[in-house]
Amino acid sequence: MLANLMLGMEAFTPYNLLLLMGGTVLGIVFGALPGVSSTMGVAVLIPLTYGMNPASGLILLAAIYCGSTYGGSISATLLNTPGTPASAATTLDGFPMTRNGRGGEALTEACIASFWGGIVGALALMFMAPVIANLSLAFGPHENALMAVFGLTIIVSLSNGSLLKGFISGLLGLLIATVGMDITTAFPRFTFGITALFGGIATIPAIVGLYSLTQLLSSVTEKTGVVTNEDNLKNLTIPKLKLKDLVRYPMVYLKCSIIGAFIGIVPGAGGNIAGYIAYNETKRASRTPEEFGKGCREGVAATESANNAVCGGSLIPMLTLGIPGNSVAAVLMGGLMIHGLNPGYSLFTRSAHITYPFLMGFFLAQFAFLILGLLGAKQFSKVVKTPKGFLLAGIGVLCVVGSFAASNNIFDVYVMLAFGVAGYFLKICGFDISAIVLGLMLGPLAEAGFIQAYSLNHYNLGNTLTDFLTRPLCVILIAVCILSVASPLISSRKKAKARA
Amino acid sequence: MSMRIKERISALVLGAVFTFSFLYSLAFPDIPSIMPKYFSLGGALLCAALFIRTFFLQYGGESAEAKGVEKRTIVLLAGAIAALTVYIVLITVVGYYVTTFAFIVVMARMIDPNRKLWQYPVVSLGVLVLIYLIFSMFLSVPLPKGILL
Repeated sequence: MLANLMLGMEAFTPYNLLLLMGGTVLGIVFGALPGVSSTMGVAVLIPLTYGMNPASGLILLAAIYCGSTYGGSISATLLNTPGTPASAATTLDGFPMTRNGRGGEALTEACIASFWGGIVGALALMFMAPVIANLSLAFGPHENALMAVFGLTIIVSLSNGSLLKGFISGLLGLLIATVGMDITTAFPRFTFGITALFGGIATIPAIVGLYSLTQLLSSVTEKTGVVTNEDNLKNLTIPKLKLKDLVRYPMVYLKCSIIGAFIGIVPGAGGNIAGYIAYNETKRASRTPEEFGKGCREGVAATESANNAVCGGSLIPMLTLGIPGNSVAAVLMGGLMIHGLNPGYSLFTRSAHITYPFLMGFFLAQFAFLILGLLGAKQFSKVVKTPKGFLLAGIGVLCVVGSFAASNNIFDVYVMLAFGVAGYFLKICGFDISAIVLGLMLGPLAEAGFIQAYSLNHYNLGNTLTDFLTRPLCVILIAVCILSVASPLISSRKKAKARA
Repeated sequence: MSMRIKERISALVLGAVFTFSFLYSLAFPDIPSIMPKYFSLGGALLCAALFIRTFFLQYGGESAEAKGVEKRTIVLLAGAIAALTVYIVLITVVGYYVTTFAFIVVMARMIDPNRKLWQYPVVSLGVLVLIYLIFSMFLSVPLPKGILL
């Protein structure tokens, strides 16, 4: 452990600390802009890491992720428009505080609570990830295939509107993942003679297209220009920070952070869910529950500590088992792969010199946004005034650079465009983009696991299926998959019954 | 366009994609065909279910406002996709910096036409300077090359 911590000290080099601060600023700016989610921010800024060594690149991405999650609270508090979905619950008390002339106080509390949440999430990541990665050593091809299936069951949680459309999106992603040479026989599938497709669909351009370009096209068609409320910004005063402000609600920070970190580990449940659950729990335990929803500082503390704790938690299944817990983790997984790293045990052994500085960087990112957020809250709040035209044009330019620079190939830019346009049309028809990305990311893992298990059984389907049903770990994983599919279905049916 | 029509069109288009993939994958050898065959068959069946569902499901009514903005939305969307496509095509022909300058001016003016005219080229130039400093000078990230800059 000590040796690993020593490896993590590489995060303290001046270059990495500079990247940490820069990434945090970029993250806060992206998070504060309504319509620019953390996922889009990380996806569009991945090209910044291409020229860096992997550890530094990942530290930058960690800072962007943490910064953007905190940044989402700025527009949630000042405009009643969450900058990121994770901050949705912050509007419940953040915006009423702004209307009562306490916007500065709300921003300060959001920053401090985000810090504590982030710290708990980072500690969970640093101490739990290596242990879970160790457990993954017991996995063979059968278990790997089932882990991918488990990852795909997240689609059930993601598909709020229609489960049918969620499954179609997932299958589309899985089908797209089969493009390129087959892993066992090198037979080219769906390549239509195009050499650039032999290696498969490049992940980063596809993700940039699906998340960033799709969002860009959605924003273009929205009627609003600059979403600002000038009065809220003009009258914003940041109160002088007192030492007791840093630990005003210690039990709330601790309880909500643990809730957030735990929800983050569960694939499919994101920061928005954590925010609402933590808010409800804090309200339930509060001596003054009637204050909640009217501008209660404790409410902001609860939601922000929970949604930032999700960041660390969501990276645990991604780094250890290759299952992205949410859309940002999926994009970060693409960022790992671009640097030649694969999730799993090897990340904590062979690539420990990269992983531990990244984990330490993730921990330090919490301090970076605490300092920057407290010192520059007023300045960061001004980014919500960025003109929409220039913002979207700039994002378009970054999408192109990001897709091209991944492998110095213009074909990837066309892939990004195709995925972006197709993603937009699928989105307006109610299909889930994240389900497509999950299929795309987990398809190769599922196929490799299944084909290996199939070949171990001399290509006998009956024996392969028997293997899946008799190996103890497989049985546990199948039970977990069933539970993962059934529980959101049961809870949504209960809700529907309660409404009726 | 109502959600019912959108769902019907998407079910037909995606169903066609899945059916084509299924038929195409029948020509693959045994092992490489397993996954594409099952994924496309599953997708095609689910698309058929989605299409049939549109005849029975109750959809909420669409607001008059949503119908009113449709024409403006289509024009803006078509403009943005066209601008992006032309931008990407011209990058490797004309050159990255010249094309990016023109793209930012056109895109920003199209989305936000009420700003002062001088702002478009000035901001575009500023973005180019930033891109040059960050990507070319600081990070050495490769950018597309063309005849001009």
